[in-house]
Amino acid sequence: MIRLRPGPPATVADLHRAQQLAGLLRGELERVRAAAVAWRNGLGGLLVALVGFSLIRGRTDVTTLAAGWGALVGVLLLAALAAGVAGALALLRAAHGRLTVTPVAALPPVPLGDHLEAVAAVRSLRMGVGLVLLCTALLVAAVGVTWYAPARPATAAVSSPAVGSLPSAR
Amino acid sequence: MRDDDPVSSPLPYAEVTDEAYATQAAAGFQPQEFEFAVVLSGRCPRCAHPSTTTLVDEVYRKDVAAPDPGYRTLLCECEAEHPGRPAGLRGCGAYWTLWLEVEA
Repeated sequence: MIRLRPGPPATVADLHRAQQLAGLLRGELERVRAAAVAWRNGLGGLLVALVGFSLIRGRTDVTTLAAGWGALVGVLLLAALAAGVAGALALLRAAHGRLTVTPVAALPPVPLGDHLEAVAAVRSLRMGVGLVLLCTALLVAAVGVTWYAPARPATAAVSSPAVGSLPSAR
Repeated sequence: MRDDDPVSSPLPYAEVTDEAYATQAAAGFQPQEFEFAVVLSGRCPRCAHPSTTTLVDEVYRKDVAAPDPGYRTLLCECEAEHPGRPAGLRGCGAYWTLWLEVEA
């Protein structure tokens, strides 16, 4: 329960602050969307540069790694894929909104609805940025493991007696 | 013409305040609580048009805002036309302050 009580005499500074806040609130969702689109493009470009242009590249054959290290590379790549997909979805949600419909009865007043959506979009944006950076770190870790993990020991050469060798001439 | 009467001709926009505005608004505005916000609805003490103000605790921004003094400053945010209003602003220009006290 909220009770209202008259405040102190308002000043011009109060007026300007309230006008500034009202302006921030009116344009809040558009600013969040614009920031989300910029982050989406920037992080997408980063990932494309890292993967598409082969700025980081591991060994192409992980079967040459010692036992267990190949599986670790697989786990890291799978985790990177999961983080990347989740991050991309979070960034898209921040930039373009949720794919849902809202019951009319549950709609908040217009400026408040935009504010709630802006708050949710900022949360998605933060999560998306974090997940894409995590994806990048996992990718780099996977590539690092392929380069620096111990190699599988070379199989011992099987020696067999020579067949059909001629006795040395005496 | 008195400044606080509902008027037949549009009241000119003027950034003015009066201690009586806060008293009238405290008595006449209805608070409605939402997640992250409070919506105050009532009639503007100056122009008497319906006005709804959304008060939030946080807002996404890039530039620096002035610090929060604790009380809230409300502006008339009526939809009516008030001659002389600068572009980008709403209401008749009246403003006042309120304390919001949360009772258990």
